Amino acid sequence: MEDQAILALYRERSETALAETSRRYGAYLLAIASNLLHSREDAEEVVGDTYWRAWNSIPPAAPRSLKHYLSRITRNLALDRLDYRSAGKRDVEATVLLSELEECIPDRRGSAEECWEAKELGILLNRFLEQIPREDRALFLARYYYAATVRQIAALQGIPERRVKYRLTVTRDKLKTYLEKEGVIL
Amino acid sequence: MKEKTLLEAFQYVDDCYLDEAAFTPARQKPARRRYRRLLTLAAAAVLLLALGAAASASGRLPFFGTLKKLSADPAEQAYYEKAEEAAAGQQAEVLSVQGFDLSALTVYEQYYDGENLLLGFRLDGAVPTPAVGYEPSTEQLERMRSIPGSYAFTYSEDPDDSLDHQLARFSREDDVQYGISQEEYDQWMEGRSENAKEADLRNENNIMMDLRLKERLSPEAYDSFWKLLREKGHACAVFHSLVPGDHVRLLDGTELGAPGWTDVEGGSCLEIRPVAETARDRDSLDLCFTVYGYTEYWYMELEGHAYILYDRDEGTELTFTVDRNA
Repeated sequence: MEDQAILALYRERSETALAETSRRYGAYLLAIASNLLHSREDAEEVVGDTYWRAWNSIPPAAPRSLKHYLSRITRNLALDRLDYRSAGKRDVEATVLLSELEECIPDRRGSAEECWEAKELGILLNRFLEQIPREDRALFLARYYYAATVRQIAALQGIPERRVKYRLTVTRDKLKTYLEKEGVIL
Repeated sequence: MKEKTLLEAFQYVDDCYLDEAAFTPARQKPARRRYRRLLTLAAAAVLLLALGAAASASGRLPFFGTLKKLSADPAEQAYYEKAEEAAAGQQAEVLSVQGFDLSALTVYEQYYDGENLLLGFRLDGAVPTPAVGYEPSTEQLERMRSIPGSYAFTYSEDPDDSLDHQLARFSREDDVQYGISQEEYDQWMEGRSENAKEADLRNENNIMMDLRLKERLSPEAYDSFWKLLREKGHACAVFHSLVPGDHVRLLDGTELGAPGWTDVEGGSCLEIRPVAETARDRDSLDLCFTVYGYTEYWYMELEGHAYILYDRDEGTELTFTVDRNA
């Protein structure tokens, strides 16, 4: 069933909205949650919570892309769960992901009030992504939005892992330079 | 934490960039095509006779004419009438589909006015007749059961799809109903087939699958299904079908635009109104689209649940030319 038909089910408050959402995007959302949480049980709970949130927010929300609307909910819930679960010790994969992003943080320091919020940063991120080659953009988002491993990305793209790692390193360096130029403080 | 803020910032990335990203899950259930109605050869033969009668009575097969009848808007009706007149006298064009033996897509009516495209067609195939007695592999069973609460016809976070459970959770608030009322429960129980009553099937998806199988299978095949279900505790029916893909494009790869589909008696109508800009104002369109072979596995457990698994083949590309006729 296409997105518009599914959204119509939400607006009509039909219970089949969730069945159809699951059929169309269940595996996709489960994969995103699993990539971040590495626990089937936690991932399934997050996906279930995603459906619940979608049900409670549509309407009035009218997303243009149901797929990405859902993926954002799933990703945010998974990140929250990561925080809650790890308070103290961190999931290994999540540690690696965050340590990679640490390389992108500008060296400039500021007070708490001066630090940028995620939303402001998101606007800049879009501008940055617009400037980089399409291949690099796809790899970067596969890694830091979808939290796919280097191995998964290499397999999906049909390129060697070392090329994926290299392109990610180059893009992280570029992002750091860009954020510094824009005066970002984190 | 600073890097966490950056990680969170990714949620604001534009959709178009996310679409590009190199990520697909390892397994994905194929999209269901409930709205496609496809024919086995035997049924097609019967329908051909009926359509032939209709054609000789009206002078043409009922594709664009049906769209006109279905439309309530006078402007739309006028449009379809114009298409119907332009398509009058057209010869049916038959395209072979390699997916199954002797399969064919027959285009009966075509209309392209430089901006809009309409096609009336039927897909016939010597697809294998439904089979009962298939034993799904371990991998197939795992795929069927991969999402808890996802069954043949419904999905719920609550994996219990029994009528008794649905009755127990009945509530109604602000026009939103959860579960089923006593009246609905009684209707479900009474509406079960004789086989389902005898076996006391109480899971919603099992009851629905039984009723659908009774419609889709021959009486002999339906009896075989139940014989196996009672003997082994599970049974599987397999159906095959041919489905035209959603994407219609030109030979150079240009996507024409999102199609609208309407099932009509004897076939389907495809509309793209308007077509992509690069496809407008041409003398003809060299079209290309794909026909897929679908296999549906309808699996039921006597004491458990009912599932449907869909597999799709690589598809066969078909090409043909539509001349501008208005």
